[in-house]
Amino acid sequence: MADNIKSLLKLWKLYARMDLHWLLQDKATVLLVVITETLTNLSGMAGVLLLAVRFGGVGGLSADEILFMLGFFELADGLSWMLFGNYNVIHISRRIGRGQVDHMLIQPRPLWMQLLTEGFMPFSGCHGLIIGIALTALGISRLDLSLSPTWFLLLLYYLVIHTVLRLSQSFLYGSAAFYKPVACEEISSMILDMNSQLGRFPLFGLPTWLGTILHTVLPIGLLAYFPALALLRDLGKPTELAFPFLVAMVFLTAALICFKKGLTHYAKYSCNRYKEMGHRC
Amino acid sequence: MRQPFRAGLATAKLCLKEQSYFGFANLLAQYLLQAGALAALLMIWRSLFLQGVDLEGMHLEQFYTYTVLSTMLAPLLNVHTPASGWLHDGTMLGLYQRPASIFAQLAAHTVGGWGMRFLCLSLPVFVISLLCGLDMHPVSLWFFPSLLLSVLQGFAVDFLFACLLIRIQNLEWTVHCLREALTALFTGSLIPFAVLPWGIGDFLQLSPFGTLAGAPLSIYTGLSEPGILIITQLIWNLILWPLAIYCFRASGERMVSYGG
Repeated sequence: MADNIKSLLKLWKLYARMDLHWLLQDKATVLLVVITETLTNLSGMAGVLLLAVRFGGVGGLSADEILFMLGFFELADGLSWMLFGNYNVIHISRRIGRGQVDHMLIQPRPLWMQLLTEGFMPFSGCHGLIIGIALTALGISRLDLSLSPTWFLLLLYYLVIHTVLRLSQSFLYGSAAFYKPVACEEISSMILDMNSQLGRFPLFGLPTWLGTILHTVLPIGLLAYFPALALLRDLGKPTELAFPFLVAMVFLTAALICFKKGLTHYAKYSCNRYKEMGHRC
Repeated sequence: MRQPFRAGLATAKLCLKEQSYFGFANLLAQYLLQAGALAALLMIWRSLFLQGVDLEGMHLEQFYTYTVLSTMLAPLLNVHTPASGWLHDGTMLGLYQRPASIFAQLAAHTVGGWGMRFLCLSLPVFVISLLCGLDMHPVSLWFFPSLLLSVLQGFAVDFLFACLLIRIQNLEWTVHCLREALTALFTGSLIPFAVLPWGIGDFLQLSPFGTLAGAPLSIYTGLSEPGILIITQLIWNLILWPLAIYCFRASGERMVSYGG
């Protein structure tokens, strides 16, 4: 156990250093990455925010509440991106579909340890997190929220739920790439794109059936809308705490089962997409 | 004249077929994602109207039509040629070995790629919208020239992004993200300029990104007058096309690809 923790810390340090070196390769790269990452995060939430400003709120939330909700989304999304964004760990179907799991299986580290550490990019991938912290803090100050240690624990709880849901969905659907590497290479990206695009919308006013789907089967509502409501209005009812945990655990379990099953298939058939000259087809 | 046209058509047909190479799962996931996003945005407009906000004379149906049309015509309103990807993987070099202009080949590939989407997403969305009672008639027929100008301008913008990629060499993903970030908000494809606060929309709709999607969609739904928008589109085409051709030629010897 202690050895594992030591190895994890060592690997995180190593990947952080590699990320810094990549970012600092030249001035143009630094400038372009910083501008692009900042613009990407801002433009993603600007649409909903501008609508909320224009109409004094949207989807049952005031403009400031929308600001808080979007801040939470950026914070949680930025956190999961910073922890798992590099080397396509979060877009796992690309690694699988491109036959790159082979590279991982020959490393002298367990697969779980590689998946937990390889994606770490604290320098080139921290912009979403920083913007998220700034927006959430701005939202809190404008709403005059009373903060307590319980509130911060709850914030942390929903951040973990968000990360688990995104990763689980990516691994769950991405496992299809073990069987159909070409067709499903981009399936994780598509699921994550949908999460990012729809997760920023407040889901008020939807028909009950659609609302239920978007909080369970396709848990977009649990990424920002539900946590924002819980953090803003009604703290800590046992059912409200248990519900997202339950959904996240179902997705996590399903992802683990499917990934393991897919890996067994991969060990037998591998991924035969490369020509002799090295090009992928 | 007929020979290049037939060659272009054949390339477009090949490209249409190519769309199905990745299988049904890939196609379905893409289109379900876009249909889901469309449904969510329609719900947002609905919830706005349920709140009873003052939309200054604009109607819910205009917003519905704007959003539906934006999804249906997405590839025309924000043209993506395969240039950036092909520069990275080396396919671009093969185009120079063929007896046709690079622009024409890229255009044929792009147009061919639109077919599958029209069949699997645009057509069903259009039919469902009509069945739901949405009025899909254009308010002004100036929409058609505006759409044509928008597509032409889209090609020029895409070639300019390809030139940027050539210039900075190995940052394809970063340039892709930069472009997506700029077009997400500034083209008006997601949210009509007419509903943006502080008059931002008035400025954006005349910008080179704003005229891409915002102009034809606003003309179609009657959210803006066609005159000034079409003149602006003409001006941007006159500026951006010579610039794109010059930059592309100047970038020719800088092309570096990785292959594979």
